[in-house]
Amino acid sequence: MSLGTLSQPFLANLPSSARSAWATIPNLEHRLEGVVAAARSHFSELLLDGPEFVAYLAARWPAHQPPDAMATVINLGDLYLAAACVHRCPGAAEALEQHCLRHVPAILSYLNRGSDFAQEVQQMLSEKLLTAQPGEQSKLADYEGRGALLMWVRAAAVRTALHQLDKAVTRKQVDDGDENILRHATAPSGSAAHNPELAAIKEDARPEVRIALGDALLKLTREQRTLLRLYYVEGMRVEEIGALLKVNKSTVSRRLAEARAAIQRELRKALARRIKLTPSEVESFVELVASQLDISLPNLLLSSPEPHE
Amino acid sequence: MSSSCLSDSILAGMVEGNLSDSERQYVSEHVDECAACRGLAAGMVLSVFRAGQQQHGHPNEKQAAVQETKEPLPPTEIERIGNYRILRKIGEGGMGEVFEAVHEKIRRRVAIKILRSQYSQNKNIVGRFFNEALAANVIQHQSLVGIFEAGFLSTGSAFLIMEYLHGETLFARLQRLGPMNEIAAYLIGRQISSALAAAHAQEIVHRDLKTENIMLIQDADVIGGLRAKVLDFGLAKIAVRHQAHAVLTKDGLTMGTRPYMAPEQWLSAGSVDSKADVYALGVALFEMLSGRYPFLGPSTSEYMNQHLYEPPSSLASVCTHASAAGAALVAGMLEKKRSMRPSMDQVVATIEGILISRRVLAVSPPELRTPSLSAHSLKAQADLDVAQSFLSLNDEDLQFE
Repeated sequence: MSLGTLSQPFLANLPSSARSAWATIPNLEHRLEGVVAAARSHFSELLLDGPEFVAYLAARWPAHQPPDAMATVINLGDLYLAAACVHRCPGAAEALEQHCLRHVPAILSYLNRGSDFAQEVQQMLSEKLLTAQPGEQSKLADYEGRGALLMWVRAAAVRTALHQLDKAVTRKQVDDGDENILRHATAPSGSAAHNPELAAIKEDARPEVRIALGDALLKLTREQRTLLRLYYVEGMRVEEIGALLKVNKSTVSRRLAEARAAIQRELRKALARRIKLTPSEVESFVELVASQLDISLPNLLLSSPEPHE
Repeated sequence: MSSSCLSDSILAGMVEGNLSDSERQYVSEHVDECAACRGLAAGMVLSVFRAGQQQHGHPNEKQAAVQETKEPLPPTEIERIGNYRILRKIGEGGMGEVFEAVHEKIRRRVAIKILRSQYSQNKNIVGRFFNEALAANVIQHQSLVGIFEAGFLSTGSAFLIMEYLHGETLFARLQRLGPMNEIAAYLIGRQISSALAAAHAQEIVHRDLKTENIMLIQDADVIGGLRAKVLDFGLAKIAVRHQAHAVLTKDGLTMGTRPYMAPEQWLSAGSVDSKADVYALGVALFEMLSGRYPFLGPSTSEYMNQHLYEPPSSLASVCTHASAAGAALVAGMLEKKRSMRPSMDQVVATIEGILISRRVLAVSPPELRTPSLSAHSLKAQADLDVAQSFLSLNDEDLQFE
């Protein structure tokens, strides 16, 4: 059987396990022409050769998918744009800018870092996605046509932004990490201000409180710690955590409340062991520390190591 | 990062909801263990949930975040309007949303702008919304967006069906590529000034011209390859109310965008005439050639003081390639007193003069052109205008002196 100009490069680039399923398709050449036309209709100004596109597509075809899943599995238009960028077609970089990259500031607006930061990330991302290291393809080649390219770029943008922020934060934490945690975890405020005696105990007990809180955290389940981190460190709202973990928001609220109660319980035990106080003093003391969980937890959650049980 | 960390495809699939069960299971286990991926997963969700909560201004502006609770479009997903099938959302602003759509029979691609329902009951706002359509069709210029249809959806929201533009804003292009050379800038400036001159001839004033309101579209038929389109005609006065630069009057209506606002616009929104567009285009030309605004604010009161009383930076000092004729034109357009500024017709003619002198445009027969103004004759014309305005001084002019 002689192969057409599209079938040949397509079959040659498929994962070997998928090849037999495709090779038996009648009118493969004709179908691939349809695929190319459909892909091109989204970005008609970009002229990528049909054989080049089908080879690019085949190399990214998920081996376990049957051929008739083509239309539902692959986002042809977006993959065509990515392929045109990787093959450096004239106008492709501009189309990527227009279609995806210009949205980076909006994507990152949740970080509240201002437009200078967003534009810096946009610039870095543009270079990262479009520039190829010698002998390699550009990062955009990793996009496989699954889902929208804009969503994939969103992930890449969030990754780049967090990486940038991380660099800045790590430097700062090394400088004032421990001090900060202590100050927050034991700073007198609220009810402590009305109770100088407790505040004084607390001042004396700084290291103990900190260790007790750390111990209490370790007693939580992994899911509880994750939940507290998402809430306190990442600053997510319950409905957002629900969206991430695929549970409804009342479940998230309930589990959060359970995690906080568990911390108080553990804190009570740990403090009773470590500091000599009457039961009622322990009670008010735990209340005092618990009232400041919002302040002290984020720092502890950031710094406490993952237990390796 | 280990190989089992979440890829961009998995992160994207997570918020798109197209992960397989085993992938979803893996994500939730992995974020329990890996702090980096937990941050990424949280970032993706936050980015989607909190998109558009903060508006971004010009990079040299440290704007305060303007938080605005938007009433979403009615929950009934609109799938079609008349013969047009909605394909995707391409933009969203404070006033409404823009969708890409295609005519099912003749495959014409269009953009459909839908006003938020809370504004669709406000007669003034709807009036201005439809004004845009009216303006575009009254002026009839190739650098304005074609508008084909206007009406109300069954949900009560007003809509416009307009030409679909595939390109980028002049603002975005300047961000991406930096300042332009003089020829590129004047080729675009000529199209904008020509569109505005046509508008002024119909006594329509844009009032909120800025580089973000100018769209550039690849077009091989235009010299320079870029067709400029002036956006947001008629709507401008309210459409920018949520943007960082926008200055609001007491009733919440915008009177302009700070870096572009003519002196008279700062004092009284109502008295603005075509010369405010000349001033704003002067700012835009300055920005195109030098990559910065003539005034840098950054606070509202500083902008006001600078626009009203301080001479602008000279173009030559921030743009070494500016020609004397170009610098004189821009300086004239940025005159404090509006009577000293050239009319938009004169701007068109002067820009054409510059392009002809650079051999970009051929000389057209003189009777077909508005008299071109050299820097000298520009000044003479301005002197004449001053003399005229002196005879008819009004209160508002006195506030400047």
